[in-house]
Amino acid sequence: MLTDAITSSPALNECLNADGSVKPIYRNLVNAMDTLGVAGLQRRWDDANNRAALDAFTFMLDPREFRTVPTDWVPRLIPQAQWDVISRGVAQRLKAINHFLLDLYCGDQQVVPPDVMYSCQRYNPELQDYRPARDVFVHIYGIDLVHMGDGRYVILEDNLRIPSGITYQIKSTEIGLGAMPEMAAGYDIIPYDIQAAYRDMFASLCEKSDPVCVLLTDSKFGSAFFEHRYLSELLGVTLVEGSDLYIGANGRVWARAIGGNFEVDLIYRRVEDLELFVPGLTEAYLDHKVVLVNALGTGACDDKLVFLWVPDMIERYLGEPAILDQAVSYDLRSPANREYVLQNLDSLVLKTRQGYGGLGVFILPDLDQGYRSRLAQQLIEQPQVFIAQETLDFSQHLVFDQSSGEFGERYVDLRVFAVQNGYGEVTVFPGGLTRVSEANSRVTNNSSGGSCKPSWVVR
Amino acid sequence: MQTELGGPLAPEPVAVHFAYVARYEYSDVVVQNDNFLRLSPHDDGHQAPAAGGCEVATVPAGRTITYPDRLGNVVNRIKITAPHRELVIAATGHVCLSERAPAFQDVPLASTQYGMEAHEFLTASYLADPATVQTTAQEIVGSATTLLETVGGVVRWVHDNIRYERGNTSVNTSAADVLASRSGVCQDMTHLALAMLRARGVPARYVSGLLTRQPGETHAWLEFLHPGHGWLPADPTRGITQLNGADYLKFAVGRDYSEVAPVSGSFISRGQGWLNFTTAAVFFDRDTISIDDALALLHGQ
Repeated sequence: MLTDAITSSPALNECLNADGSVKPIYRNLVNAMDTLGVAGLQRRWDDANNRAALDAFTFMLDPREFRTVPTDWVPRLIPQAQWDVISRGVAQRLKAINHFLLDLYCGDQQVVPPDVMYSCQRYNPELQDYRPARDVFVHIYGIDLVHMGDGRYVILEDNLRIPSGITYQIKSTEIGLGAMPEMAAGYDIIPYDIQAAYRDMFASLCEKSDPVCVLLTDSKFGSAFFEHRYLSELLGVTLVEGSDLYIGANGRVWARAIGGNFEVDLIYRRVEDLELFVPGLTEAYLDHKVVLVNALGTGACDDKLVFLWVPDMIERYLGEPAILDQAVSYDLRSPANREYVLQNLDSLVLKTRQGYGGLGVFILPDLDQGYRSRLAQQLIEQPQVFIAQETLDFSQHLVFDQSSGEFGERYVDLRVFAVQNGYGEVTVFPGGLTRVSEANSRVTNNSSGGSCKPSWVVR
Repeated sequence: MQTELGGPLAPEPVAVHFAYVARYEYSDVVVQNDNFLRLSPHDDGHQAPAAGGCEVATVPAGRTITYPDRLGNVVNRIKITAPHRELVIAATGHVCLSERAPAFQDVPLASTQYGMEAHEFLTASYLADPATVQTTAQEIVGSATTLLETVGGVVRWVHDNIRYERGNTSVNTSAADVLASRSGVCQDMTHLALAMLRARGVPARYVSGLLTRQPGETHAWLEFLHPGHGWLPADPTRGITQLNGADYLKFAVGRDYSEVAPVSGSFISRGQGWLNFTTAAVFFDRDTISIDDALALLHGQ
């Protein structure tokens, strides 16, 4: 078999047993690839990559250079029983975080210590006593998980301001299935409808059946422009840049258009610092003149230190234990934790509290001694900037190297997306986005050079 | 040789009112301004907020959240979302200043043990790294055998050898920079003394506040940890270790200035911003104080 070259992997591989034999759920898939053979796979890869280029399935690399999103087309298979746990765990966490945000801004939250919560850059003092439409803060949620190999998934972080990548989930699956339908033979892949879930969410927030919605992009030259353009088309909402929007004399948000300017009910914002893009938007929002998706203020829970208290939020607001575990993390405000972390630098991950997109993540076992000691010095000088997490030995997956015709192994994580509508109903989209690390790295992030992979939940 | 600290006991605590004001200007419209203020008295047992409490305010007004940071400093975070080109920050308070404990025993340095919570005040902070002043600290107080000899030696040396000079240093000047340039202001002298004390194994922290009898600008001094009496003050700028409690009004403590700046924050604007004017006043004879009194200081400039 094509996968025979991979033997007794040191780290866990989701497709293969330690002896190199194929796990039962992957047998149909590996057989299909064997039947295609190396040359057949290479042609399929060409076809899929061409489809991706024609669909402009791209991201911005450097100024003015778009690249096709690097994709490994060998799908990841998630058994439905595992998915059910993930799905319940994600929905639970989303609800708990939403409760917390409401309590943080409109109540008297007692979960996160005040010095942690209110020192957080992305806590918004101006939102005190402000209730977002239908009390929903988190409309779209992206959560990063890794698989420990035994069906157990562990949470690495939450993305609550502008979670990105859902179109990668859609397109990698759609293009992969289109170019190599034989891989799906024998599998019953669970479908989902992102368009319906988003449109239902928009309408429920505006309390009208056909609200005027726009998608606010940072720029046509931003790294995620494909996603913004694709989503605006999929959802039937107008794509705008900041300069297209202004605050009208009636205090509402208006969009400039050739056929006549129009009032906007809802902004699906894909930018963080709204005021930089649309001066006056914060005040209009505080006056309830417009709905923002995600709501302002959600970034408070993107803070890597606040992450440590999410299990407490679940217990407090939902009265139940967390369904999914999260990576063991250390609050470096504690002298004992600082001491422990300094003694165990070679086995930990350091993350900056405000980091995102793979930036500010330091996997210490993978760094050289010089880099590690510079980080140790920074940790001593400014411990409040960081948190530490135990390094996890998470799963790898098969990747096909089109040029050499060989299979290899890479670390993979899983970003799962969920939507919450105005009635508090949560939809978790089956499969999520599998992100693949570069060789010899455990960082799986497109901003940091990784690639992606279709993920199917199979019955 | 100084072997004890703490001045004579004052008969009564002294109640004072204070007012602080700062005005920032910007070269273009600021649409959001998010600031952390550490301008409220730090309640440490020797000074306590008195009746009437403390107030902070800005012009234009913003939304405020008040919380204690990890070292017990009162932080007022104010975010302004109204467009502005000038921001005034004002703070007032009523505080009781009392004297330190009477003279107490010195302790041998070698046998002094500190708990884990003191560790962060012995190691490098952003602006005060003991490794960078280790050699000089050894030369100056290497022969000192007690805690108070060490503190007294460092504080006097900094006072005698660092020239008080404005304009050559900034909020990012480190202890090592000050040792090299031999000049600076109160903040710089405090950083250098902190780093030297840490280098000699004495936990030391930065204090930001006002000199009640020279209140025109904020002052910096330090505190060192005595195993029996907790945190005790010393002022490297004035070269003294016997501080009169009524002379010092403490706002905040931290590992160095970067943790306790009276005003720190960020704003969104196409332009730049700068501090245009700041001053403070302390009153020994008033019954009340209000934000208007702080704003009035702007007109006395």
